[in-house]
Amino acid sequence: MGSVARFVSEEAPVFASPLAEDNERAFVEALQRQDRNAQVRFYDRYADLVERIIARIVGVDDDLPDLVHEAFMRALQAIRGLRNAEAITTWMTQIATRTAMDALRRRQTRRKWFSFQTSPEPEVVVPEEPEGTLDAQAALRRTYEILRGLPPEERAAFVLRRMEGGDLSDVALACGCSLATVKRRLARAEKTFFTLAAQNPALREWLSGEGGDE
Amino acid sequence: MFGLLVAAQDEQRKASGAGAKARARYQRTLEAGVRPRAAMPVAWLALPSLAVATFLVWLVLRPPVMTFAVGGTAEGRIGAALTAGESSLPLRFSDGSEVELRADPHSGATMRVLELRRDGARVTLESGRAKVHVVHRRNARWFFSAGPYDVRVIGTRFVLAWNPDTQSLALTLAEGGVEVSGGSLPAPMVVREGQALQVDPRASSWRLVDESAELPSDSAGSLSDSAGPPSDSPAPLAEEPNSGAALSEQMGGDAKPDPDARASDRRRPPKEERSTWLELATAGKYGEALAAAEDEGFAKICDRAALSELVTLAQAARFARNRARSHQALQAARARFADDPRAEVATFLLGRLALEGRDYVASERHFRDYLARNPRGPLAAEVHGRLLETLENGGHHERARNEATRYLEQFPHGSYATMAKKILAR
Repeated sequence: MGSVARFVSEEAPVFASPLAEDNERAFVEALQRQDRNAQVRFYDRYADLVERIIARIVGVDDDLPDLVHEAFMRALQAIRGLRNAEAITTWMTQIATRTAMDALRRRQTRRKWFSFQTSPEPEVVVPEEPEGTLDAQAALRRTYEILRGLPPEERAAFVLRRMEGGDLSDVALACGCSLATVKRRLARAEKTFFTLAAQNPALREWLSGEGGDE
Repeated sequence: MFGLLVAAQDEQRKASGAGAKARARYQRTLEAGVRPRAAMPVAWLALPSLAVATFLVWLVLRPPVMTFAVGGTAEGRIGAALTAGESSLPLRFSDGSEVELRADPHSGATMRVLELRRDGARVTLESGRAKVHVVHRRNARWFFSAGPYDVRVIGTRFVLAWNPDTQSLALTLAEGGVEVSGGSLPAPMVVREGQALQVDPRASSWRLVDESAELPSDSAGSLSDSAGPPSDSPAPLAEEPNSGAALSEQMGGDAKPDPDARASDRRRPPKEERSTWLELATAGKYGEALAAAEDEGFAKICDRAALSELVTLAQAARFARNRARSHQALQAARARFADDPRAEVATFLLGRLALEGRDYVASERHFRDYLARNPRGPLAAEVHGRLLETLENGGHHERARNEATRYLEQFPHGSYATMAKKILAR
């Protein structure tokens, strides 16, 4: 496990806290003392955020509960390194993002080194379907089939920006990289994603809403 | 732009129960005591060699990636099309599992093995039927797909049949249990031993029956051919007589037989009459689909079509740039299926249609209508966002600010959060 503490940000939280906490410092200090009530409350506050971030990046599969648990364990083990208590939400977002990216890397490594008897990862092919016939779950599967072809860093940046609707600075913080780097990753990811999505008229229709920051 | 997909994923995430599992595990870990990260002890210096040793042991002991043989001799290749003609084609996997591909009387049978892993395989049935026996193993994970449907298997015997022409699926369980999802099923459905699932999207229905009570006697308790796929033109499942042993529904849902829906279904014209526009619409030929629907009688279709067909018709009209017809189909969906919660999607689509037409009064009315009845519905986040867009574009800036505040409170990371922040920052 990499050093989680290096993601601790001294900047103000950009991803809003699920609840308004008047005394974040006391809360973080209680976590650092391993106060059981604080640990329970910590989970209640951030479970949805962590689960959502990981699900967005990795997708909803059988590993999701394990990854959520892993993120919280990383957080509890690294909480002593959190100096700016007000940045706890951003910090937790970073840990969830890093946990999801690590999971994607582990999967890639497994495919690369431990599946030598199987054929190589197939090229991402998006089947042509009649326009307008995909239901939401099928469209979601197609979306993740395309995302599977992206490197974890690009995939995380794309998902946090496009699906979670984060500002570029939010995404850069969550990914633990500079604004310039996240812009480069995003540009590459968007080019790949939308090129492949354009081959599928039904998916294109699902993605053609006017919502968000489009 | 990903709003609907994000809403779908949130639904999927909640349905998966991942949160509850993670919470239980977290609590167990807390009870066992969590320790903060300590400085690296000297003993940890031996960790790399220990890891290498463990890896080598694991490398030797782990189960091999599966292989499979076709027809008893030839080694199977991943992705290759496997076809069965008059005689069946057996596939034997290295873990002992077997799949027998059988052709239909009217069409061939094709299958592909898409992936082989150590714990299972992924197989897709493109047409015909497959008699499957998956050997039960701990952590075994087998996946079968047929068209838009996914079948998740641990250890079981079943017959899966898929007719790509009619898009109908039939699955009969002889042993164990499987989970079927995707396609026109409203939610993942568990099929257990002795049950059979039949799905016919054209009739907008699915049917889960106790095999011994519902299916012909020659199919009961066996992997016989009678569990096979619907023929070229299967009788609509919803028109079959129902019994207490069967669960069926138009468009899925809470698994209760719906006499009204069935009666409505019986009023439909025969397949040849009603399928032309639907086939054109599903083929993406929206202009032609709308013209065919007009020939057939647009109002008549609105009076008789199933809910899913009405939504398809509305979408076809929208893509054909005929907003009035799209509106008519959606209004019919709402009026005729007022008691079906799935018809709420028509309310949302009406709002979107009005928003596209810059009729902000109507779009606000539809979106508020949706939210009043479904404050926590699957499209709630999307509808709140569209409502925000409606108010902003309609020039109601103060109300847009209030809506933006509410949106950020409820969906701080939603698809419209950026728009809401911009409105509030103005």
